[in-house]
Formats: sequence, structure tokens, C-alpha cells
Amino acid sequence: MESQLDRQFAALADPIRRAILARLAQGAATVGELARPFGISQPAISRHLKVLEAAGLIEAARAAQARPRRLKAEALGEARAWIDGLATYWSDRFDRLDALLGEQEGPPA
Amino acid sequence: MTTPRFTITRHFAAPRARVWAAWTQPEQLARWFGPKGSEGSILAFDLRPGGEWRGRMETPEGAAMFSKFVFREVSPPQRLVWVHGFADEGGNRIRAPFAPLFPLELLTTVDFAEDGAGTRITLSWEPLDATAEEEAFFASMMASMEGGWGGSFDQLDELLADQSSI
Repeated sequence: MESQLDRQFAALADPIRRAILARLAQGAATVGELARPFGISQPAISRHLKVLEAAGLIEAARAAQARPRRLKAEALGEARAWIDGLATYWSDRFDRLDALLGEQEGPPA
Repeated sequence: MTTPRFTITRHFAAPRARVWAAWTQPEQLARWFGPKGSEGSILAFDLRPGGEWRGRMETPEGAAMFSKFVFREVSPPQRLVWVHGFADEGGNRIRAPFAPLFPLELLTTVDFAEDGAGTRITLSWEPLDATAEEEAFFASMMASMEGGWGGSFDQLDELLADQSSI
């Protein structure tokens, strides 16, 4: 069964979608605004946005006609926690191993 | 697509035999291997190819989680290889809690190299017999980790910090 976290990582697997999220971290943007810097068509951007929306990572504002997309930072936090967990799994342990080896060192003979 | 691989290297200021001992004696492992900020214990430790290293850890919320590693290669003092994954209380392999697409098993390879008076550890993790979806999930985590986000992680951190303080 696919979980929301699985959908998030599937969405994050694409470099353009990661770049879109990075752009939205700086503030909401419309499809047109997003399409410009990436040099791809608006329909292509819309398809990427659909994937990001299905993963719950972004949402569209209803009020404005251009429906600017906004990052749902709290949803991204869960994926981020997993990435951090993988990144720090060994570095945290290595820090503690380093401390243990230092303890065992003993005074020089 | 080539198998995505996670690699980390660290120099330790201790002779190789001592570092090897810290990785292969359960009483020493118990002092550094557990997860940060929570209790961990070693339930089984059978250091030979096919032997199992099983552990129990407690999350900060008090829930128990179990791990099962199966040794593939034990070559003192230079190389240790095991199959890494989650388990249930009975030691049966299970998927990562909350993320069904995280690879079921990761092949862990640890190389111990003499490096001056110290030891250089090179550790790698790669999905083992993984489906295309599992490999994509792992690759996605790696890409996100390696700064595929551009310089925006800092802004993202600020955003997340703002949200959590509400």
C-alpha cells in the first residue's frame, strides 16, 4: 500500500519538482511564474504541480484567479525528517564511537 | 538505473584492532550503536557469516522497535558486511514503519583501513534485491540529501521552525 510519505518521495524523485519546491520555499508563485525560469511549457509545469499536490506538498490558493501555489511546509517536514534520519544515522553513531575510542585511549605510557 | 548508494567515511584516532573490537564486541557496541537519546539493547549477536545481530530500541515516545542484521562477511580486521533491516519482536523481517517503499533490506559494507596511526572507516548502504519503486524511493532520499534542493534548505528550515513555534 502506498502511503502519503511514499507519494512524497516519489514526488521528490524528480529534480524539476525539487526545484519547484525550492522556489516555493521563497514564496507562493503562479504556474506562469514557475514555468519561466525552468524553460519548460506551462502544461509540463502543471503536470509536475499535480504530482506535488497529490503528495500534499503544495496547495493552490482558491481566492486569486491565477491560483498561486504555496508550499505546505509542514507536510515537507515529515519527508525532511526521514532524509535527516538517513543522513545522521551513521554520523551520530560515529560521533559516539569517536567518544568511546577517546575514553579508551588512556594516558600515554 | 544503477543502484543508489549511500557512502560515509570517517577517520578515527585509534588503531585498527581497537576500532574493529568496538564494532564486533557486543558490550562495546551497546555503548555507541543505539539510537540517539533513547534506550537500546542487543538481543543477539552471532559474529559469523549467516549469524544474526538483533537489537531492540525504544523511541522517545516509548514504542519498541526491533532491528535484525544478518552477517555476510566477517574478515577481521578489515571488512564487515551485513544485511540491514527492521524486524518484529520475533526477529522476522518487516518493512520500515510508516514508509512501505523504504527498501526492505540494505546491504551494509564497512571497510576498516589503516590511516596513519588511526583508522579510516568507509561505510556504504545500498538497497538489496529492491524493486524499482524502492530504489527510486532511496535514490530520492539521497538526491534530496545531497543538496538537490539548491540553497533553499535554509529558508525551508526557517519556514519549518516558524510553523512548529505556532
